[in-house]
Amino acid sequence: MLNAIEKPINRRFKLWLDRRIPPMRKIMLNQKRLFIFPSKPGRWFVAVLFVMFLAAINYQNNMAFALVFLLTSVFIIAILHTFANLAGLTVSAGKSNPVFAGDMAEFELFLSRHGNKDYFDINVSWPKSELRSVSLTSTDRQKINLHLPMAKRGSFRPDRLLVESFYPMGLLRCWTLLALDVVVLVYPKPLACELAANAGTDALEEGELIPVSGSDDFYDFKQYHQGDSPKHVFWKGYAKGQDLVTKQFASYSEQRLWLEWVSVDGGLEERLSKLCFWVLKLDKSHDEYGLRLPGIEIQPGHGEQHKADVLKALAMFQLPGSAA
Amino acid sequence: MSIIWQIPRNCLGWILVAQFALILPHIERLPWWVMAAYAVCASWRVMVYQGRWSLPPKMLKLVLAVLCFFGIYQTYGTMVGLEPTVALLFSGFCLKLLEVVEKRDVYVIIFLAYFVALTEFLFSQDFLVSAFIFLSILLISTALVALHQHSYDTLNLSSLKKATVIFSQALPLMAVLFIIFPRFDPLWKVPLPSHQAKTGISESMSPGDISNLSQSGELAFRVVFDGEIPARKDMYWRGLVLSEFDGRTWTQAQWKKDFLTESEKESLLGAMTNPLQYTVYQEATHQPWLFSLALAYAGDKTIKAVNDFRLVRTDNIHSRIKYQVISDQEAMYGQTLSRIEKTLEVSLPRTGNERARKFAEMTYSRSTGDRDYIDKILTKFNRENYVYTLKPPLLGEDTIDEFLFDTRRGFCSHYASTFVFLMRAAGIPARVIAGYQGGEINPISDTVLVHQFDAHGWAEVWLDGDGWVRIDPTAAVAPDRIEYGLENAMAEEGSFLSDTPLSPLRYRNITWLNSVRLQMDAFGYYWSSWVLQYKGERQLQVLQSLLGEVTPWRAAALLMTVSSVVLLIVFGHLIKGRGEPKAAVYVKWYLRLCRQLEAAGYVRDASEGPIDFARRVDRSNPQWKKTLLSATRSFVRLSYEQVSQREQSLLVKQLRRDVLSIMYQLRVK
Repeated sequence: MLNAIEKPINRRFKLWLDRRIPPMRKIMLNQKRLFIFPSKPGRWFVAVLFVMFLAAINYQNNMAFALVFLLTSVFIIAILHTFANLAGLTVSAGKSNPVFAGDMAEFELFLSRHGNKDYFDINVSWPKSELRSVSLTSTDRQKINLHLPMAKRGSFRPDRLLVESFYPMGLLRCWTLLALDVVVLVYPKPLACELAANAGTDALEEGELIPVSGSDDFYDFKQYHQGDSPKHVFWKGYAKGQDLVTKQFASYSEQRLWLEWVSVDGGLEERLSKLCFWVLKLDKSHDEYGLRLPGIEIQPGHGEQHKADVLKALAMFQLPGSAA
Repeated sequence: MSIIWQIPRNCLGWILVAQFALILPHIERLPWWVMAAYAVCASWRVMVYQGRWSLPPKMLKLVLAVLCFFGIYQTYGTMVGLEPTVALLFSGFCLKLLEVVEKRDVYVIIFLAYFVALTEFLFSQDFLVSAFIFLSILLISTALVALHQHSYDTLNLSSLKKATVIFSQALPLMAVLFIIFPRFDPLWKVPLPSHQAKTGISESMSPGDISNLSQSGELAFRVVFDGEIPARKDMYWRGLVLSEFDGRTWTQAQWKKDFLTESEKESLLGAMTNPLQYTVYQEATHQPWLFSLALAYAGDKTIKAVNDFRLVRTDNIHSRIKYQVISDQEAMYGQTLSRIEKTLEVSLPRTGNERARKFAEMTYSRSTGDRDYIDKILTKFNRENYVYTLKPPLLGEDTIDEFLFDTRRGFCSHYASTFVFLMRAAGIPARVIAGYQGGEINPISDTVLVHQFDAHGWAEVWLDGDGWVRIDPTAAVAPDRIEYGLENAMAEEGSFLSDTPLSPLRYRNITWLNSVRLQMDAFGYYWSSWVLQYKGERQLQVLQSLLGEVTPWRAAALLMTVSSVVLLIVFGHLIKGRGEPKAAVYVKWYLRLCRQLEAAGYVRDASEGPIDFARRVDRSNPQWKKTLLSATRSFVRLSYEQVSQREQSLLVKQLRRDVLSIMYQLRVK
């Protein structure tokens, strides 16, 4: 029942918030963006004040009245001080590196002030991240690292960031919910597997073989000739009574391995995870690889940028907002 | 993140300081072991913080809590009432110190501290005490601020500074609230400080009783006369009428508790021909007796008139009270005496003090009448070798006989008691009156200060046709006591306030010290009458002068005006220097240009330099080539080069001209 009411209200609130504080890379906190309300201790404080007020009335004690009025005024003045402890701060997003699903993503945020006024105990957190409390007293800029668990692949945009402060009296809570324009790319979780037998066959045919001694990739055996490096002699086979042969290493000028939808089996996510595993594996062995998914083709290549492109394609595959 | 929360050192330090400040004004009232418990708990807490000790086990804390309860019950014999509650609060304070684990516990301690501060006002609201308590409230708030400054790891004065700033900003608001807030009647009856020793005149008088009071320089009450202050010798403040004698002690007669009815009370007022109006500010005595000049009338509902023409309050006086009295010293009272009254006012114990009885009979038989007899007795005190002293010798069984014929050294109680005995022995109705005599006039506030050492005992004699007549036998022995006060009367003996060497009243002859004392007293009086007694009539007067007409709307308007002015000023002050600094004029112009270009479809990349951007735009719009590039160059020079003042203004002018021209061209297009 309650849920039925709560959900539309929450949705409404989110919509309103989106209009009021639209997502930005760098946000300065001001009247429009800050909310303030008595905190839990603050509400207790009001209750204590009320009891003291009753005592003042019943004892007709003017000093007790003065005390109650003083604390009431302090409470009101504290509203301004609590507000000021966030006002004028700029929250900006730093970089955030892509991660694999199931890992923690690290987000870099910056809190900076413009003047030389001190800011104390500002709590920064996302609903599922840890809470960081920072003060800006001797520095003008503070770096904050927050970590969030990434469950699913895709591009992840964290919820609104909560920035709150109770300073100076703890009686009031000043807060804001910021939609920082930060996105982290989450790759599928790698899943170890074998490629299907037919995988990448055409790649091998097309590849032009250039045996190069000194390369790492095993290519074939050849009869042992004197002068061959003893390191490359296939001693294991010799021990089994086979002929003495030398391992030949080679590299392909263009070894094109296609990672294809059909090379792996399983459901959508499973396949993506398996492909992801192979991307990492092939990248490690400096192979060239391409990706063919329904509707997507990335020509074989290698290197960091290529790997990032392929992983991104896997991460965003068949997700809304991945039309490009 | 499950890092164990630690109370900031800065905060703990301030809590300990604030608690210590809170305990100080209570030192006299609290049982000694509460102090000891606080000292132990505070040091334990400090040791815990230094990592030397660990927090006490749960069992020990439970035992301590039980011990505290038991101790308080032992001390006060009850758990209800103000004093046990305060002791309980303090014990809670001590124990909570050993229990602070979470942030929530710190809030509990601090809110408890605010409450403890309030209870201190129930015992005293004197200026110095109040100032000190407000200081401790500032310290408590400092602890609260320190709780939210995790960046400091030692006691830091900046917390105190912040709290002080907040307090000073809160003061104007507090003052307005104090002035306009209506003082309601109590909603229900509350426990008052009741475990206090009674002070002042007691209900009975034995020889030597009043001389104890004479050692105290405390203020008993203060009187403000509407008109001229009467002569010192005429100020006899009647408090108690003692009519029963058991051979040693004078007590109030049981039948004397009859109160006058409202109409009888009103008729008193009618009997006055020369009424004298005054207000008495009486300190707490924890007894109901009020003090007034002879034949007193008070309109207050909480004040009753007794049939022996004095005033009594319906409740014990636990805090300073104020009452208005109308008196007529010349009016006659008790013109007629019923048979019963007459019998009772001449009754004496059947036996004892035989010598005095015989002496009375003999003297009376030789007198021409009641008046002559009275004169004879007073003359005896005056002529014979009687001494007025604060150090009378102890008396045995027959107090009257021993004093009258043997020791002949006594204080006012001795003389009053003996005189009344002699009257009664001769068949003249007489009684002892206990109260205060005289008072010190503070010329600064124009008030009469009656101290405890002004306590006095005298006699009233009933004479046919004159009613009750005041006779002070002490005046016959030591006229100085009545004319100039106790200090002068005891000048030779040097016993005035000899038990309290630090009392400023002892040094009245040092001029500057005395003037300081009188100044402080006058300030205390104004404090009491303007701040502590600010309610009812006085509040209405002040509000009238402030608002013209006293209506809730006007009061609210005053509150809103003051608070909005204060809040605006404070807000402006707080927010200053927190926002982004204002951009220079040339930056504004350049940004304006960028906005205009953006509207026309040329968006500058975040990584694109201004010159590159200008070149890119030029490629598609060669007609701006000159102006756009020139504007950009001016901007770049102003931003990155050191230019002289004159050059700067020229460049800005150039930039503005270029921007305006581009904007114009864009419009035209």
